[in-house]
Amino acid sequence: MFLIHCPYCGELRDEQEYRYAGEAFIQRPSLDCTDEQWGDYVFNRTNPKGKTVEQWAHAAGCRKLFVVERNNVTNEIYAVRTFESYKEQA
Amino acid sequence: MAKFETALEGHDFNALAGNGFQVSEERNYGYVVLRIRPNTAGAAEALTQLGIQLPNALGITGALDTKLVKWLSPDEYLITLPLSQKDAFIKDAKAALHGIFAAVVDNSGGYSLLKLSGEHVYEVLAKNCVYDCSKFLSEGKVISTLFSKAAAVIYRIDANNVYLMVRWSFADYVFQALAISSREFR
Ligand SMILES: [Zn+2]
Repeated sequence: MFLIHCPYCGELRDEQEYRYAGEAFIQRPSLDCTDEQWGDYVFNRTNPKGKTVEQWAHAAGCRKLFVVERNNVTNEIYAVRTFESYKEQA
Repeated sequence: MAKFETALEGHDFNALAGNGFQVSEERNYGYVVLRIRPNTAGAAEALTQLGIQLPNALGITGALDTKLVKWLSPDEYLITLPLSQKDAFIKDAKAALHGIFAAVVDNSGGYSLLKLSGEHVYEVLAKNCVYDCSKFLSEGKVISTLFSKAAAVIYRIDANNVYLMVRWSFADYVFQALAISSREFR
């Protein structure tokens, strides 16, 4: 059983309530970018082994999107954070 | 006026009833979704005017016979109130929240509300939920989770009953899941 803490609900919930929503913090290029830049934005992901920074949605719960810093080999979760918390930090 | 029917019209709730588990359908309620951030300018006054107090995360305020306000998400609240008061409330709410960044949406007819009771209620829930209701669903708490494979809002406002709200399109599915999972308690 894989449990994730939702920062909005403030509780540990089962993974079935969540939906994986891809790598976090992908920057959308400006509209005058090249085809290569656009292709990179749409298709290419860093795909690391080990620590990943990814988005999860609490799909069956509060339906909010947040950030999970997770090890994709061991499933250890280092941190669960809201997008706002990164903004405050910056 | 057209005949009032719910999604579970004609379902035999007595067939589900046993000594330790009962289900009934709560038919006469309206469901209004209020989208607002609690710290929005002017929100506090408008909500006071409407007699609404916004609950904290996973919390509930008010009462079913007036307005039961349930937390769904940081900017989303579900208000369950008697169907007869629903239209007037929406009109008042839209007037009170005019000019404030908020939305009031009528979801009546979109949901089915079931009341579960009996000593085996948490055993029936445990068969269907990934959430441990017997341990964590305390009185005055609301959770959005899965009931079997259907998205559900589950809450408790008193000691004896558990309320289960699902979309009307999943109501039959949930009824069948309840029928199967409560069979051993009949
Ligand atoms: Zn959540």
